[in-house]
Amino acid sequence: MRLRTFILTALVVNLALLAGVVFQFSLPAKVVGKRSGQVASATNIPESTTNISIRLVTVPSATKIETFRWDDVESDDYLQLAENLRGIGCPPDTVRDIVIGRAKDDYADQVWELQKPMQAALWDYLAKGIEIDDWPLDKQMIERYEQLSLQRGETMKLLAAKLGKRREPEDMPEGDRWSSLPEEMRPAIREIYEKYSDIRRELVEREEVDDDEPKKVRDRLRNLDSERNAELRTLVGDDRWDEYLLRGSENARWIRSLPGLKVAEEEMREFARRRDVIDQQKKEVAKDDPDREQKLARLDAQRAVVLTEVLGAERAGHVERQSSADYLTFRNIVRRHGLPRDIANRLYEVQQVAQKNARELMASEVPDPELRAQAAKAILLNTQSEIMGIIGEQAWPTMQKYGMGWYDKLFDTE
Amino acid sequence: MRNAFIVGFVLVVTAVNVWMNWRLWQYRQVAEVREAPAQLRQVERQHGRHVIGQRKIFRPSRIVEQARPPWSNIESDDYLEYAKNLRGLGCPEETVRNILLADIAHNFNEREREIWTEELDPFWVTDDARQDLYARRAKQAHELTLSKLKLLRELFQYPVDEGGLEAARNMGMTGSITRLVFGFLDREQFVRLYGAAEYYTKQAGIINESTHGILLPGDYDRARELREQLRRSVGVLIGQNGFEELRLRHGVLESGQPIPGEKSGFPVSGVELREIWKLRTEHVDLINELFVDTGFEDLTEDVAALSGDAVEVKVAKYLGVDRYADYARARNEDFRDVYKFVSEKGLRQEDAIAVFEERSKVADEVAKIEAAEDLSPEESMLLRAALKARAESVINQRLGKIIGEEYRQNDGKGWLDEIVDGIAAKRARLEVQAR
Repeated sequence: MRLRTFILTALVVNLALLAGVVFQFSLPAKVVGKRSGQVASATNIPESTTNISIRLVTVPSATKIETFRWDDVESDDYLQLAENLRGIGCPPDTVRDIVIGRAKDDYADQVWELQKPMQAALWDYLAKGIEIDDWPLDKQMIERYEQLSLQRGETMKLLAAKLGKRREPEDMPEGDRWSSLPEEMRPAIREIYEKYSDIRRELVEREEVDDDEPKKVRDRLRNLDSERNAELRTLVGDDRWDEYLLRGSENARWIRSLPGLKVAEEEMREFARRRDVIDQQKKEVAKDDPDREQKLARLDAQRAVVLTEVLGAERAGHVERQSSADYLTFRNIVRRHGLPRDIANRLYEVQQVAQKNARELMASEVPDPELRAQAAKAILLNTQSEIMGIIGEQAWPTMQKYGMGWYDKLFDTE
Repeated sequence: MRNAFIVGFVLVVTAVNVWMNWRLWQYRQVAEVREAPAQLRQVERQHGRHVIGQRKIFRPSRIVEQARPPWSNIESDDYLEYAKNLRGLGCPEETVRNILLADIAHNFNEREREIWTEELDPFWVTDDARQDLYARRAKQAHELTLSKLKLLRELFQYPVDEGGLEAARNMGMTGSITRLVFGFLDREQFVRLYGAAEYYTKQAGIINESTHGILLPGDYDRARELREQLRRSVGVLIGQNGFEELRLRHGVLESGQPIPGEKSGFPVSGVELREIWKLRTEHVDLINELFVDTGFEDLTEDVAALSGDAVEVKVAKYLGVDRYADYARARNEDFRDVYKFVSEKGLRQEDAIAVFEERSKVADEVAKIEAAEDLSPEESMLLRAALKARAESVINQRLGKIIGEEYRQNDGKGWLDEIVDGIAAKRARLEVQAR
């Protein structure tokens, strides 16, 4: 009787526990190590649950438990390893990283081991005074090294072919020249560039391979940029094309590269347009024109005054700063200390005055060396005091360290 | 007996049922904790021991369609979780490194690219405005790189980055000198050593780059800090003995200086040569040199400098006067040339020394002639001719007429002709001709 009661109680308890097991399995699956089950739903693969140590993979629909350890995918064959990784859903980029990384490590390991026997004899070889290239190495070792290097190259080539390349995003070609284009037009522009880049690559390959039609290929290559530009022009329209051309002008690039100079957009455009016209006229002067020299000289004179006409004499006078390495150093010092940019311009002016004074003193005919020395000292002291006043106490040590090389050479010849 | 069996069986079945329920319940609890919103985990991490700029370490919006289970369950947007999952699978540490370094490099390159290309460069702006824009972008890019390096350190517990790993692989493959210098280490030590050097010097390079080379005292302090971190890392990795061995090998193989040895008239054993190089390099701070190369020249001031003369005195004390003379000659390229010629002809070392010493004497005397202002061009030319004749006579005496002639026409031709055909001599001859 007691046994029957025990069995009945145990049966009820076990049925309840079994119901608990079934209930827990029927709850929606959890994916550990991910923030959501996006991957599973996106790929229409039954939702699965993996615990953190990846010992169990539970597929609730089939109430099935799979075991997965890294050893299961390992293989000495690189292509098999890649295949195994693909089989467990590893994305192509990661497959490539794993397999190529593994291959590189394997070859490097083997080459590293090859040199180990030489280590014991290293100092003895050096003591013999033999050039390293002439060390009496074992012939087998050299052959093995060459073999490994060759194999590595072949393996890498094979893996690159089988595993493909990582997709890298392409930048917008000539980005700053197209920056005024509306966003929606850019993909089409990029496509045209890509198309012609592909054609160019194909033609170059054909030129290398096929000797029979090099002229035809070369002609096409020569005309390729014109073809591409015609297509681009049709796409963007004449106004935008003119803007693109203006931005490609050397004059436009020059005027916008002047450091420390405030130039408005309209001034830059005007300068570039006017100088482009003159440059075009220079190109059009015929080589056999008897007045060629005079014409070119006249155009050069016109060209020289454009800057002053557009910017005015004062700003145009500052243009030479761009070619001064000292000025660029002043700018870097000023920037490093977070000082107003104009301070670099003022430092440059002080430098110019000091250099001019020093030149004049050296060229002067003051006969008394004592007087000359005093004058030189005065220039130096005055210059230093002006610079200290401009740059301030805090930045003065930096100025001394980086920006005063010219100062030390002011009277080098004295 | 029968009853006891039934009771036992029922108890076992019940126990199995209880265990299954408990495991499933426990598993779901763990899973739910791990499934907590990322936001919460970020806050926890920031309050934890490692503050690693969580916003920057998450992987970019990767193409999730490409990964399928079970791999998609291993991957995680959080690199720390991803690494933990891979290690939990039994994935070899080198493979974990290959996966994560490549993925992180790609991720950060993509982000850096976004910094530089998010907006196309404006065209009609002044140089100053453009420089400001580039400086802003460069600052963001540098911050990104630093956060990447911090993440890598946290992931692997040692300093490494993808550049160091790749360089170590390639150098180990192609550089025979590299293999000789570092070959006493195992390859993993070499990879980590290279990675550490890259890791810290890259940061020093960033400081230099972001300051446009205008380095303030604080920048030097930071570089010193990095230098000492690298020193500690290397110390942990290869120990004091390994470090000393590396300094010796670097000194002897990569200094570019001639190594004196048997072939240059200085018979020496491997042990002695090693000792000499120990004396020559004990003042060299390899770690400091790495940092000086990143633009921090002033860091050299920190290192106790030992003058070249002091090093030579140490070596001379070790070798004794006579052997030191042999050693010093064996490092001289001129002597090495003469010695090579002489030993190939089966002559004695003394003959090579005599020719070399004559060459040195002649060079001194030519310098004196060139410096003498009271000599006329004619006198100068006469003296030079006399010196050449004397040198040729010494050569003939020492090497014999036939071998001496061969030497004069080949190996010795250059310096012998230089006595009478040097620039100063040519000028003197032109002056004489002009008169």
